Amino acid sequence: MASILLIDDMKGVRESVAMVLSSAGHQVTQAIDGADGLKQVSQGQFDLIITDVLMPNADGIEMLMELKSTGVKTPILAMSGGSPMVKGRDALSIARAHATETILKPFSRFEILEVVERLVPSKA
Amino acid sequence: MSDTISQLLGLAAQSSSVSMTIADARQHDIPLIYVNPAFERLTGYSFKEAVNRNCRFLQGPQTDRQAVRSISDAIADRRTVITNLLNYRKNGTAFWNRFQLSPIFENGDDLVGYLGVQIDMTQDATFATTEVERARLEGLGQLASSVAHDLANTIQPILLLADQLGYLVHELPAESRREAERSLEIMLEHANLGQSIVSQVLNFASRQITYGTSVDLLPLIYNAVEFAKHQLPDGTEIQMSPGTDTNSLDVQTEMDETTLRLIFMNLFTNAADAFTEPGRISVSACRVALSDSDGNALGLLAGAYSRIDVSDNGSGIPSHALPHVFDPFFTTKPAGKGTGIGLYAVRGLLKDRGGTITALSTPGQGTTFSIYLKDKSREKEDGLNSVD
Repeated sequence: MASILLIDDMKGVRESVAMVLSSAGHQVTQAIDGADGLKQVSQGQFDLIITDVLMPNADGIEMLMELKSTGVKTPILAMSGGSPMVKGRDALSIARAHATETILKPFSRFEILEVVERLVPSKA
Repeated sequence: MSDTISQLLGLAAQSSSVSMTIADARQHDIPLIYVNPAFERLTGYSFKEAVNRNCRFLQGPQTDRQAVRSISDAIADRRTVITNLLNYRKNGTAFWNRFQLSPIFENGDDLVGYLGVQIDMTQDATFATTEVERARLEGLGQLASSVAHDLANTIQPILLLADQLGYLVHELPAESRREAERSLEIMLEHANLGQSIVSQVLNFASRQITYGTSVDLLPLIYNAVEFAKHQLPDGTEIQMSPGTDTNSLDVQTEMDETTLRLIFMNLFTNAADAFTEPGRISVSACRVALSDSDGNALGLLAGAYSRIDVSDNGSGIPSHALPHVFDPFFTTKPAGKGTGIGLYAVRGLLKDRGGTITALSTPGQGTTFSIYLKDKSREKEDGLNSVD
């Protein structure tokens, strides 16, 4: 069972994803934006980071860059609701460049659990 | 130059009905040093207000940055540029400026200034429509992308939790369990429909389609028709028109396979949706050589094209709706069935590759969509100059 940090600024999305992950036996810690996410990373040990791409305050993109530059080895799954341009940058392609894997919203229960299993193979 | 000519040139500029400006290339930031009375009338700025400033004071919030960049590039390269840009009068109203800027050289290559000519295109109906249309569609593309993003986030919890609840309803008594399962089924079905709308809009908005290849037209049309036979609802017949001259269609076209398949499937599905009872879709193809005037009427360049007609014998499109079928978010389908993106995207994809699409319809008899695809140009193939 994996220890997962889940970052999304939308409460409903965060709670529903957390519920699905918990029901599959994972330990989920929630963070509400990029800044909160970075704080949690510095304080805890995670097997996987799942994050939204577009968020206020040190948005997801900046957090992804920061994580990469600080050499965090934890696999990162970026969730994206498309690729609107953010400050002249295409959010989705930046996510693809910096995350281990990306998943497009809206995804099903099966899809998210399958990706998580792939990124953090369960210890038999 | 004789004094008489110089004097006449000055008078010509003063009397011209065309707006003209001269900027000094030897001063910092290339300020205007002369504007003629036509400029004053066009912009509302007097000579005194306009000179000693760089002409960028005419720009405003909606001015296209790319047009502005094309001007600075031309200045850097010391060459002439003609571009259309939205400028603003002193009173704040906008006008379309067909702006021409030419360097003025002394002794061959000593750059001393720039001659600017401003033509007000706002009253030119054709021009205004296309430019306004382009700006509007660009805005809609961005809007579509941001709507899709918000919709994706809205659907996400519904999709996940309806699924999650499915695991919990087993514990309910049989009676209420059936009702709960059916409720969840409907929720999931609609969340999935929402998901497919999001991906349609995103595909369109982000144009996740590979460009740059060409394709043999005829096999692709046959394949698309065969494929559609299995995809379309029961009762819908689809066939190649027997009159299609297969020999003449041995051509390559400026469009990649994925895009072209997408376009065909879109048209076939639209046709099938127009049937209220079993109907027939017929596909035919031919070669056309467009003259300048044919091309103008279609918004295409003259040259060699393949035309593919997709006709149905369905309910037809009412004449008041026909001019709008290619508008974004326009749909005649019932709520929830059409996004109004399909035909708009099809037209955009074709136009991107030098083609287009037209529609003809007789209510009660059916509709024909005609696609024009540009032939793959020969110069790219064997490096020869164009022979068109």
